[in-house]
Amino acid sequence: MSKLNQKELALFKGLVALSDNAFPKKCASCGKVYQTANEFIKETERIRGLSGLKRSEDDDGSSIVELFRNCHCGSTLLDFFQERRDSEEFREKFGELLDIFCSKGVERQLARETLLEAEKGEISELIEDLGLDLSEITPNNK
Amino acid sequence: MITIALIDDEPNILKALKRALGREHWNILTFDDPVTALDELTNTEVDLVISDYKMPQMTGVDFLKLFSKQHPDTLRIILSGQADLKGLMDAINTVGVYRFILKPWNDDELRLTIKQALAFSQLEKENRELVETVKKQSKTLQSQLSELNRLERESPGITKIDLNEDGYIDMSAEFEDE
Repeated sequence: MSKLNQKELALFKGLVALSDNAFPKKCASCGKVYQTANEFIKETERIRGLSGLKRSEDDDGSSIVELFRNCHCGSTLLDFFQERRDSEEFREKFGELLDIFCSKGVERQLARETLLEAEKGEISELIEDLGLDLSEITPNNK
Repeated sequence: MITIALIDDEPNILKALKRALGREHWNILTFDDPVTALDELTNTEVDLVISDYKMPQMTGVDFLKLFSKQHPDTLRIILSGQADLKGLMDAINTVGVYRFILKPWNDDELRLTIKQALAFSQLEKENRELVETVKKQSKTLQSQLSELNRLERESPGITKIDLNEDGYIDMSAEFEDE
C-alpha cells in the first residue's frame, strides 16, 4: 500500500462520494472490499505515480471528479466524487462566515484557519466563544 | 451507425467511458465480463472494441485473441491502468492492437484516438474492397484471355484486328487482292 503524501491528502480531503451506494465497494478481480471512500483512498495504490484524479461531467452536466486507483491486485478501480470546495454555495457560505468572524474582531487568517478546521468537523473554542452556528459548512450537514 | 464494444470488469470505468463517448453518435455496447461479451457479440457487427487489460476471467489480450477470431476485421484497443511493457508487447505482437491507452485517459484524446481508429478502419475496409474488385476483374480478364486463345487456335489471326485512325476495324487489307 502506498502512503499518501501531503499534497494528495489535501486533494482528497475535499472529495465527497457522489452516491450513498458507492460504498462498500468490491474489486471484481480479487474480491477486496473497501467499506468507505476513505478506506478506498488509503488502501489503494496510485496509478503510475499519479493522483488518479480526473475532472469530468455527470449525466446532468454538473462537474464531478473521477478517482482512479489501483487495487493491490493491480486492477484499476474508479469512483465518482463531488469536489466540495468547488461548490459555489459552499464558497459563498464560507465567505459570509469569514466576514462575520472579521466583523467580530477576529484576524482574517485566524478566521480562515478556524473555518477550515470546522469544515473538517473540529469546532474550536473560538467558535464556541463567538456563539456562531456553522452547521451549513460542517460535515454533519453535507 | 458505428458500433463500439467496451469491456471492463469495473462497472464505473464502463460508465465513465460511456459518458466520455456519449456526445458522439456512436452505438456503445458495454460488458463487465469478457465471456458474456464474446457470447453476446458473436453475431453483432462491431467497428471497434476497447478492452481492459487486467480482468478476472481472462486478460484483455486473451479476450482480443478470441474476439478477433469472431471479428477479424474489427479494430482493437487495450485500456490499462498499468504501464506493463510485457503486456503491451504481447498485445501488439499477438493480437495486433491499434493502440494501448492508459487509465486515467483524457476524454478529448480518447475521442480523437477513436475517430482516427475508425478512419483507419474505413481505409482498411475500402482497401479490402478494392483488392476484392481487382481479384474479380483479374478473374474476368483471365477467362476472356483464355477465350481469345481458344478462338486464335481455331481460326488463327481472328483476334488480330487493325483499327484505323477513327477507331474502326480496318479491313482494307482483306480487299487488297481483289
